[in-house]
Amino acid sequence: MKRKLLSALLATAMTMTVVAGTGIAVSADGEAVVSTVMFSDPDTMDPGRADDDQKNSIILECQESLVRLIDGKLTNAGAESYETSEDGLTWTFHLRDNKYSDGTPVVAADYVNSIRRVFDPEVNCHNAGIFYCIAGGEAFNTGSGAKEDVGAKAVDDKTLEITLTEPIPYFAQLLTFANITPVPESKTEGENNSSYGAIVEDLAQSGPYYISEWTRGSKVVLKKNPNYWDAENIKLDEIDMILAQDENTRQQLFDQGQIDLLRNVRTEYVDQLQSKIDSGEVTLISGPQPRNSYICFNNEDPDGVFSNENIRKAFAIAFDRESYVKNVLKKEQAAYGEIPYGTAIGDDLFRDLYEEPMKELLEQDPVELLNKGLEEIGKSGETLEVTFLQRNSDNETKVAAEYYQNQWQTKLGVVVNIETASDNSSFNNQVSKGQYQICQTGWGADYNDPMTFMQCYTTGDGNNPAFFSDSEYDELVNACKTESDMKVRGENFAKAEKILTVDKCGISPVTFSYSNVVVNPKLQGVYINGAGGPSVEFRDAYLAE
Amino acid sequence: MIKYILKKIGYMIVTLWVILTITFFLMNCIPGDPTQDSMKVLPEAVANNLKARWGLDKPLSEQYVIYLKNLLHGQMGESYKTPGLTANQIISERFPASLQLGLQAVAVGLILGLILGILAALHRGRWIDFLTIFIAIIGVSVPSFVFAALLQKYAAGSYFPIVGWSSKGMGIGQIFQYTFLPTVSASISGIATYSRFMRSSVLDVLSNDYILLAKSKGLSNFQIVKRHVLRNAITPIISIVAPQVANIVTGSFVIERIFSIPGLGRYYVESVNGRDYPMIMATTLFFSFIFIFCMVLMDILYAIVDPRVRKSIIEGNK
Repeated sequence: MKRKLLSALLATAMTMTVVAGTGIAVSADGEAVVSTVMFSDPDTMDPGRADDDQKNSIILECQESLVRLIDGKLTNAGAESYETSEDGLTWTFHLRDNKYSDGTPVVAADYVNSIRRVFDPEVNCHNAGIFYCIAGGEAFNTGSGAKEDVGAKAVDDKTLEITLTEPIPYFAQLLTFANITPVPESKTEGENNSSYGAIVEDLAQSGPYYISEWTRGSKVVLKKNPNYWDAENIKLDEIDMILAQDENTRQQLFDQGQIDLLRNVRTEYVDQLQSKIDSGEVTLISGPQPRNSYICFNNEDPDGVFSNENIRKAFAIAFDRESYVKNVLKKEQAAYGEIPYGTAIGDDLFRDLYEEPMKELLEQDPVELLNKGLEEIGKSGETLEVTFLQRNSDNETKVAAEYYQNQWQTKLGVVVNIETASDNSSFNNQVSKGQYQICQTGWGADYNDPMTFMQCYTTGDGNNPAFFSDSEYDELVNACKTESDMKVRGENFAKAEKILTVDKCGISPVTFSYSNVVVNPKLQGVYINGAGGPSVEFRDAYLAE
Repeated sequence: MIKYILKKIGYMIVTLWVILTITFFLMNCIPGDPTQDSMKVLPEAVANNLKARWGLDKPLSEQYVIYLKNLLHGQMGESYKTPGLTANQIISERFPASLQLGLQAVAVGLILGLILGILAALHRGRWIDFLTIFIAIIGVSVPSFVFAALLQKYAAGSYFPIVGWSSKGMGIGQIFQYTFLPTVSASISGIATYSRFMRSSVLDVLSNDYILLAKSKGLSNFQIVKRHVLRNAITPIISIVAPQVANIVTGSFVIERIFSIPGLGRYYVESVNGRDYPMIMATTLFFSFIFIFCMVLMDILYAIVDPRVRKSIIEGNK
């Protein structure tokens, strides 16, 4: 009581209303205010340029996508209903009567404008490639087509029609992207096409909340959008997003009750909070995140080492994943397959149906495989010397690289040199050019379907850092692009996954992400999303009495 | 004197041009380009569009000439990572917070550092001297982010916010609340450095015969310090303050990151990591400008404080 009284006194002096210890801030006029953190400083609020988790998380609260991920399920949002033509190529959406925060109605032409902007060379949406399935998109993006030819049409103000080049079975998942949320053409005409999103006052905001304040490098304040179609069911009045890039700072904020929700926390911090979790003072929401990390072998190794299948297998086996996760990372889960837990295939979860394939590989003797491989490449009896490319010089990356080095040196008797890239950009540059032997990298889902992981390793894909190539793998994965039977797709993906990680061992998965979110128990109705949607969905959030 | 200042400004411009040229070509030598900072590889068309938009498809020499032309018009270009904002806008938006924090930190550092230094020298071998040495060792050897983290843990809470910065329309009280902890964190190393230098400088001066003479005339300690010690002892401090001021007012990556201060600090590191060429150039030029400006100011201050320097300038001009 004393603390509350003291806080109340201070609150009047500070106008920043914080009730110490409880976290939930209720302003003087009784509004429900919730605080959370931003992990990075968003550089733009243009939906067309939303390309990372942080921007998506903000923009998707302030914009209404055609479909939203609510409690993990695709739920009609901006679209009241939609239907697909028999050939699966034409998708017709019937829009709700929704309005922007300034009261202007949302019309189908606004969605058309956003879809065109995805491919607009002036906008340079980083996700353009994912939407190449929309007719005319690739042509407009590569300069050989016009924006009018992009397959998105406003039949009338309330009807939107999207035409695809092929019947993509997971297209509904792509509808949750921030990139294709509505923006009126009048906002992005001329010069504004490149600069839209830089100034908050110019934004069109059609979601449950709108950005009322944006102090770059410090905070973003979201307020309830009174013109939202479902405004009466939006229970929070304000969400404060405070920039806190430092992990220690974020924990301080949560410890002192200044934020109500903190995601991506380490197991160590969860352990610290365990007694509060047990007593119900803090709620822990844990779950898999569709993201992995893996040992990336250069399958076209210029030194001819990792182009050998047996040597790749030896390195894959001679690595203790459980110990790495427990002792080095202190978060995540050991992975024995490419497709992470939490990835959906139709209405099911892929991992509920198909086991991780790598366990049988790990039973083989790595030294035997290494010797066989060395014989095959004509280096029998020699001590193998390889170079591990480390992503950057951060301490965590360094410790991880040394763990890899130690594992292979002791278990295989090889010499592992560590080469450090100066930063991520140099690392990506080197890897994309194939100027490395072995490294660790990873992939996070763009949308919730195994395709987002499996497409990368098809021959010639731009995101295939391992330069893996296998015709059977390509055939299985490419068939899933248009196959609508989820059972057939699931089986194809499982077979392809076994080829990638076991039979050919083109790459070797190491971890699956596992997210821990700590929440003030008074804040309820938040959904933690993996792929698609904002990472924390606040639409249905409310404060418990 | 005016001729002297003009000459200094001339040197400054030449130095800036050399720095910008070296930075421009060095920056383009780093492997990787602005389209490669994400783990996900951009579709070739998107990457090419971006490069064309930024003019990176032109030969390097042409890019350099274009850059110089724009710079002469005062334009430092649009940031690659912050579409819609130019480097000029970012600097003018972000610099005030860094400047405010920097000036406060320098002021606190100087005032406390000088006082501690003088007291330590006057009471050599006593507790205040040991305290000053202790502060100096701690301040120099412990990095500011450790202080920042400790302050966040033990001093921040309901009165001092853990993160954040004052915004327009806030009163003095609130500004104080937001800036206190970052200022303390940023000033610790200054206090340490200035007190150490001031202590040895004052000790140096105290050993001079004119101090003995002043004492024998019966002047009080305060009078001796005010009239004879301070002016003579402060000259060496000026030479270390100038570069430090430049460093601190242009923004600290660490302090600003920990306290989420909307300053310029992050751009020195992030623009290089993200290959945001216009921001790399802008931050380098801006920092160099402030640095050189402080050095010129230091030379002028020297002339004001030390009549011998003033005399040599005037004689040199003849």
